[in-house]
Amino acid sequence: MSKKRILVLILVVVFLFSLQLVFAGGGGKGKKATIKFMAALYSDATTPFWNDLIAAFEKEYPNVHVDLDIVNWDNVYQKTTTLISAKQEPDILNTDTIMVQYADQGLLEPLDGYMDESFKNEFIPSLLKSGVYNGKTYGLPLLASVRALFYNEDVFEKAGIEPPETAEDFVKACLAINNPPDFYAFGMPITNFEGQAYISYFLWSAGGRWEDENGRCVVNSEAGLRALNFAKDLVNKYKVVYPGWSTVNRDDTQKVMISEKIGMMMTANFFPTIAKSENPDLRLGFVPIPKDREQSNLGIVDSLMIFKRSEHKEDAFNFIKFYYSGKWHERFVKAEGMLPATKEAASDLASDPDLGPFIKLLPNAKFWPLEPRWEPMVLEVIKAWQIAILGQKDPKEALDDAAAKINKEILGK
Amino acid sequence: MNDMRNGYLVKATKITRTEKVAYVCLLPSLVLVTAVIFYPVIKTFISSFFAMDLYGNIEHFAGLNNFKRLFKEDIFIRVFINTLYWTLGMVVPTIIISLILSLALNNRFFGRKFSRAILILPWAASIMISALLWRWLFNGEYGMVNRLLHDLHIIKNNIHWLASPKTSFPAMIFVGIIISIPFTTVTLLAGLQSIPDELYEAARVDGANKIKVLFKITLPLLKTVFFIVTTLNFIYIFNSFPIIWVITRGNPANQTDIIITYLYEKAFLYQDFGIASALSVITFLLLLIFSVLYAWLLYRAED
Repeated sequence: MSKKRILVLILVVVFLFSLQLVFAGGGGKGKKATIKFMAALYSDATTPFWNDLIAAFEKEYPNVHVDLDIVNWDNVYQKTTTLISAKQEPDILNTDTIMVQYADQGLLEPLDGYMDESFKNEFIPSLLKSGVYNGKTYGLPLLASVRALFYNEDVFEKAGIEPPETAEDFVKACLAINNPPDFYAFGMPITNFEGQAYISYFLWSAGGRWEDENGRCVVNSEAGLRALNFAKDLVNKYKVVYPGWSTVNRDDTQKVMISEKIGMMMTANFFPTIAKSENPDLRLGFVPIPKDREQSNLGIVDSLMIFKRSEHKEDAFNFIKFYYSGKWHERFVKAEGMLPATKEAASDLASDPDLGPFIKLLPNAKFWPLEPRWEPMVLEVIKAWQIAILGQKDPKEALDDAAAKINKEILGK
Repeated sequence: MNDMRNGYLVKATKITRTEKVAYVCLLPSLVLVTAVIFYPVIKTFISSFFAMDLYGNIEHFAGLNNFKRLFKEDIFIRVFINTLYWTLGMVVPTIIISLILSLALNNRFFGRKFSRAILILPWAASIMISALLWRWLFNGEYGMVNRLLHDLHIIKNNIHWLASPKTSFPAMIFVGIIISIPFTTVTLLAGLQSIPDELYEAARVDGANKIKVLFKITLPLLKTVFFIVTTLNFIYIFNSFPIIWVITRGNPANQTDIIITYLYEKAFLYQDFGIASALSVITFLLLLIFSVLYAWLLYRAED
């Protein structure tokens, strides 16, 4: 019996001890300021890079400890939302846009007060501006990317055609290389994984936009309908689109392109890096997104933000500043196949064979609107496009219904 | 050891020492279960009647508004039907296949241990990883499924499995069945092994044939385990999130969503925690009703 009693006692002690750990966790900080940095996982190079940078930073700022939390893209928003609702958000956050919703809710620290003119001047102006919401800078550009139309050079040579510059030429090129069911001309992933990118290519090219000056959703404009009908015709009339378009996401469509089963797709500048490692024989060319009524390109600026509730904003900003010092920024964008946000890095990398041509496209790139309710809004628009292209609803009706629902229920306008 | 046995055999009118020990030992798990299961369930019930901000903080009482908004969603019925299709389409084949497998594995044959090990192996892989692999296997162009069907001369042209809900949904159910079989078979096998050999010997002495033994001894005695494994499967599958999230993510336009993935979209992409709570409450009640009903049917059949 006594043995049993001891066992029970041990169990109880262990249990209480573990509770203690759960509830008092993190209470044992020393005098050092700890800043929590939630970074997104770009590639295998991401974690080693930040570890190196943090080691160097902590050497220079011995009183600051940086707690690195690398999060998969799939979980970034869910994790941040959960942390915010528990008032446990990190000090610094890295996402693929500035989180306007957080800025709107007063959760982000405006960074203007921390920056002097010379620091501001280090950035490519349009990229710095992409982090400005309601006149305040809420995010600094960690890196950028632009989109282009990628095509299989061998296929184009065999068909004896030139890469398309206009929407009209694009359709002709599609028809010239299309050979279903073995080979489809175009990959057009319009799924809830970044379908807003393809919608933007077509919408902006047709001269349309997501929102008007009053922040109302106007994807159902004449140009919006034209864009949707263009995509719908590619699928149903010309039958040149890879059939998985409504489910197979961008990353998997890239794999189809890499295995040379489709001839063209629109995607980001880091695509050649991926393609080269998986299929060195693939000769990949690229041109700007074909022009219908307007020449446009989509730029994405991944940002660094500081939360208002952070207790070490000064240290957090020093950390961000450190990233732009030395050659850290340049090293990061190069490792990730991304584009630089500072003028110095841009001129250093201008002659880089992989990044240089894309850096040239950067200054004219357009960005997604800074809309606090962007995510639910694009989901509704993506669904409307899917339903219309699948022929389950008339395109005009689908767009009108979506815009009405967005303006009434999501944006409250 | 004697003490323990007494604890069970003697009808206790007061709490015995052994029972005290048992309660003390149970206390930690009870506290944990309360903290991690009951508390969130109750909180969700309460939340479903309130309007909430984008981070799930309660703003004001909303009555049945969350439920009303949910029923007004066009896609809700489709998602609900999908969930039934998903659950029944997976539970029934899983149970049948697992029963056959477990009966086979309960026999003595050369390589039995090896077969059992092979069976358990897929269980060790995370569902996320399995689902991701299946997403690639089902790809119309570079997927191995088409390659295999092609080599077996079953198809001539590639099937784009994920291109339409008509094929992507059954494909995901197939993946679910593959993933559910190991757990179900192992549990049923454990049930089979708990049936005493004496019964089989007695039946053999009495001259019962194999089919009679199966229906008169094996299956009746397997009933409890069968019930547990069906209920657990039903609940797991009803709430199974990763397969759909990884393979189609509900595309196109929620047409391959089931309640749980739709709920996730509402909660974390739309940040509409009101509708999400209402949906959780409905799911919880549905599963509760199912479990009670199923248990009642089973015990009634036993009498």
